[in-house]
Amino acid sequence: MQLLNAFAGVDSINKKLTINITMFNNPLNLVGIILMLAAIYLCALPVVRPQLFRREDIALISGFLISGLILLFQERWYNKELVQFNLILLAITAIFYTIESIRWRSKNIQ
Amino acid sequence: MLGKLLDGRYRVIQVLSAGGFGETYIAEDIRRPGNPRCVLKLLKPGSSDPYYLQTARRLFNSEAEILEKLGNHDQIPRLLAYFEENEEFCLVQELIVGHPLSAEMRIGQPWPESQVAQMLYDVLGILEFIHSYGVIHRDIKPDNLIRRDADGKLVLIDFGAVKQIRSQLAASPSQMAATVAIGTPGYMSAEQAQGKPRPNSDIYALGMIAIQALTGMLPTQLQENPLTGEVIWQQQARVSPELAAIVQKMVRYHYRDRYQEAAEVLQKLQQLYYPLPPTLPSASFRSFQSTTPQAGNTHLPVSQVSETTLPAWLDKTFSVAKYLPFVGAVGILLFKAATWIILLGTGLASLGAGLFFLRSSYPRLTKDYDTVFAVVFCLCGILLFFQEYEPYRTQEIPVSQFLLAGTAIFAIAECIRWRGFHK
Repeated sequence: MQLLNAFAGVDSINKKLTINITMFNNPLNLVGIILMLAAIYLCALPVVRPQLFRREDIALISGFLISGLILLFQERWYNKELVQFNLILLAITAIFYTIESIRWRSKNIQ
Repeated sequence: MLGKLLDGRYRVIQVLSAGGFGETYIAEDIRRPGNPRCVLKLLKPGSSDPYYLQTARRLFNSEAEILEKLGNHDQIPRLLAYFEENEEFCLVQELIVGHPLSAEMRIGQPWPESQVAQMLYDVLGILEFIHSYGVIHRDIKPDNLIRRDADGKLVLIDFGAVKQIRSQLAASPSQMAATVAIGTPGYMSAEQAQGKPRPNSDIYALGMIAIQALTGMLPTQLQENPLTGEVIWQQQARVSPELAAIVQKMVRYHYRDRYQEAAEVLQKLQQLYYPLPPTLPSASFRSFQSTTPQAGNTHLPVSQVSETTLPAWLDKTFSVAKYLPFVGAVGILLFKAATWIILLGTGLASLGAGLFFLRSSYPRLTKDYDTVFAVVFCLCGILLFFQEYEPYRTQEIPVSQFLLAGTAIFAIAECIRWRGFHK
């Protein structure tokens, strides 16, 4: 709270920060961040471990990136629990199976 | 020799091959009803020295004992008799009616990978068996593998009594020069060329046959890395990296770097093509034969492998289905309608149901936790039916729902494909 108060009274730079903080009061934003991280991880794959990367992964990257961006800057739908729940479940499934498929690939290369 | 009666029972009717050291004939057994034909191998010891003859006899006997045991395998010709006549040693073996594998391997006509894998399976099963008796064949080559007409299985012949005796006789220094080249150049590993064969020298030879099949080139035409002595072949072959890695490890220059046992290679192949069994039922072999008449290696049986790994229909379904949600995402952007949401809901619910059926029909392609995600998919699908859609407000959330469903389906399809390859 002290931190928030410190930001509250000051000027425009701090307003931006408070906007960023309000982003996290919606669980969808958190899901968005996780999805973005997944997208970044997949993007880093061709650089870090090129042998694990497949061309089809572009579809996965774009899926994660776009939905991550949408959810990260989402404020309107946060009061609809059904939608939130749905999105969270889908995101968990998508991330889980993406990790599993990458694990298979690395196992195969070994 | 033709028409000659040996042991009062075997009448020679045809010459199969005649060399300086041993001769092979087709004979008929006149003491059995119907006079069935058999293979008669005649070994002529090169020296009449009593010590040499005695050693040759001892080794011949032990060889016959080994062949007697090995003959219990379905893919090894059975030993019918062995005897000595006029200082000549005779082995009588079951006649295998078929054609040699070399007739199926034409230069410039590589085999499809699945056919090579099938051949490896077949021969590795035999190698595993003979190695378990401490026997090294030492002359595995396409000419010594006969595709039996009756059931299409490969039968390993020429258990070189001749060669084994010859090599062991080489203990006497005068014969040393003769022992050096046992085996066939191209299929012979380095240690075998030095006269010190090991069980995995047979694995090397089989690996070279696989390379010959994959490249359509004779092993003697292949180049070697001048520094390491390793065979360079992968550029000439169209093969998956997985099978290439297995074959490469079979033909490593140093025996220590190779697979040590045939069972190890079999296990790797099983992991790759699971659950293709080591020996397919004869029915599928017959169908294989009919697709490859005589030397037609044009196509095995892609269906054989795909049936047993990932069913072809499933592969096709997934390759289409995994892109559908992305199409849906574009669709909802272009045409704002609640129908898309209903479609996605139906799709997800049916995917969940599909995963359940997959779990019960192909338990090896799915894991227990897939059922949890099947429930999740069904739930998501049902939730979508109850979702309010406000077409004039925003499509972001439906789009992200489509995209997430798309990525999930995409990743699941990929996982199931990998599981089909690996387990």
